[in-house]
Amino acid sequence: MANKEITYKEVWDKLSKIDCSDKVEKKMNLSYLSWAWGWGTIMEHYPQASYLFYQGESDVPYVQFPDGTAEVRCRIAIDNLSREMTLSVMDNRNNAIQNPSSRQVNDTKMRCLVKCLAMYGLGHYIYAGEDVPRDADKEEKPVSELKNVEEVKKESKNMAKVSKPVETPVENPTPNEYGSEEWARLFCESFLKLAKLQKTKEEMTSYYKSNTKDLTTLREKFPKIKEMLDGELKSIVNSLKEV
Amino acid sequence: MKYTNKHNVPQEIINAINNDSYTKGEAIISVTGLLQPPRIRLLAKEHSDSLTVDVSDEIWKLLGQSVHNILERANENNKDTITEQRMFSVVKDWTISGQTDSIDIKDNILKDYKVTSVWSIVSAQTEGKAEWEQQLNLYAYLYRKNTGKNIDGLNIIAIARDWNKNQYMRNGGNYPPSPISVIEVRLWTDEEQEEFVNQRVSIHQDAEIGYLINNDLPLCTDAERWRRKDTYRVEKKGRKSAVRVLDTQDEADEFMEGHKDKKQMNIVFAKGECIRCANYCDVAQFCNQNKEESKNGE
Repeated sequence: MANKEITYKEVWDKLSKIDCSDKVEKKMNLSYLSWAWGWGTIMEHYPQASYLFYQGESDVPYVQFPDGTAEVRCRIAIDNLSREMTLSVMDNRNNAIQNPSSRQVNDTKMRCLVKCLAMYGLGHYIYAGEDVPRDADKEEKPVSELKNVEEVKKESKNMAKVSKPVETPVENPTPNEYGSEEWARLFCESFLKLAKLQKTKEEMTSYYKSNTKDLTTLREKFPKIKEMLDGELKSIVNSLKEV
Repeated sequence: MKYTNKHNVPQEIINAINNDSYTKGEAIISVTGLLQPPRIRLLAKEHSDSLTVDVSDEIWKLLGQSVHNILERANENNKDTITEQRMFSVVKDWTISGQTDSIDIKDNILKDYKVTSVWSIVSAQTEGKAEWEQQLNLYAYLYRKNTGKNIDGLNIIAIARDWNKNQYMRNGGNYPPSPISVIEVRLWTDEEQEEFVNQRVSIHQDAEIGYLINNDLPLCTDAERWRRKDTYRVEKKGRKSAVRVLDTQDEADEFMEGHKDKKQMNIVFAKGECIRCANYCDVAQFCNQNKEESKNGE
């Protein structure tokens, strides 16, 4: 018999309580959590974890936007769990850099990895602007108070322009199980929103393909919703013909 | 699927046909689905409510099921045999599944039972049968993914539904000596299995996306349509059947040229029929490839 599957809640409860205050480094006005420490901590608790950086079609590990700026994308998997994160390649004033160098991309990848770890709870309180981890007994802050929600939303929006995967919705960081009904609803909303931005059938095909994993999860868990999504998508595709 | 009953099949048989418990489990696609041409699979899915099949056409399927059920029941407590094991694996984000009929633990042989015609058995034994080889190797792949162990051999246990002792006595030769034959199937390397499964999943994924976005289905190949080869019939005035049926125009010309009745003869080209489309494809009525080619006289 297979072991019991771990849940997002279980991981979150464990990692969000870890105090990383003494691992935070300050550079200019930004706080950095050491990726080596972050990954080491994950390995202590979940040695089976793995990470993956998006590899672009032109073999570069980032997505480049029409204005020449770029973002990296990271996915961390722990058994059946999966979290994704994006991060723009920025200078120390938080401005996106055009045509980044390999060094800048590499630094951003490691920051993105740390940011993705926060999606599992590790160091999340730092992104939320708090000094110490929340006490488990204290009431959770509402989602809207998290500082990085808008940033992530903005990044998700940008992704549509390059026909790349929709991020797992993060409007509600209270761990929405990947594959839950709520996840399905949010995924469909964002998928269709971004589908409307595709200009040609080729773009739509590439966009659809890049979301295979999430579309498959939707199909396996909620076949009726997937059928509805495909129906909506067909209408969008039909409108492409008229353009 | 809707059933008709053109031949007054008794109700008990119809009930049995309706009682098919087959499921592909919690998977996107089964081994059977993977091996189907994507055009057939997608049209069948789209028209599942309006597909019509006569119950008499399902009798052999029912017979096949009964053999499986009896074997499964008989081997329930046999520790050396695993029967009807459904296995899963994820390939290119799709969960695929397949159910093996029987695995002989002792000899490490995977077996699949087929209730089929003598002709199929003879053909498989003499020329090999690609579909069986692909199917069993996909099961071997799933077994390896699920258990971490390799299978040592693949067997088709073929039961001939139309075997006849007199025919055997008369024909001899390739005619199977018994109504049950064990056919050894070539076991592929792990790499061959991986490559094949990835290729099939990609074909179906691309077909699904292409159909959804471009309303375009990949055409079935001649092999998938079971197309018979084109022939050249040398016909003679006043005779119904052809004098000779040859493979090429040159052969037919040569035959006619040397024939004493050549002035009464002519050569008729006969396009090879697509046996599956004409007789065995449930979705032929919805298929524009079939309609188009029928219109063109193929």
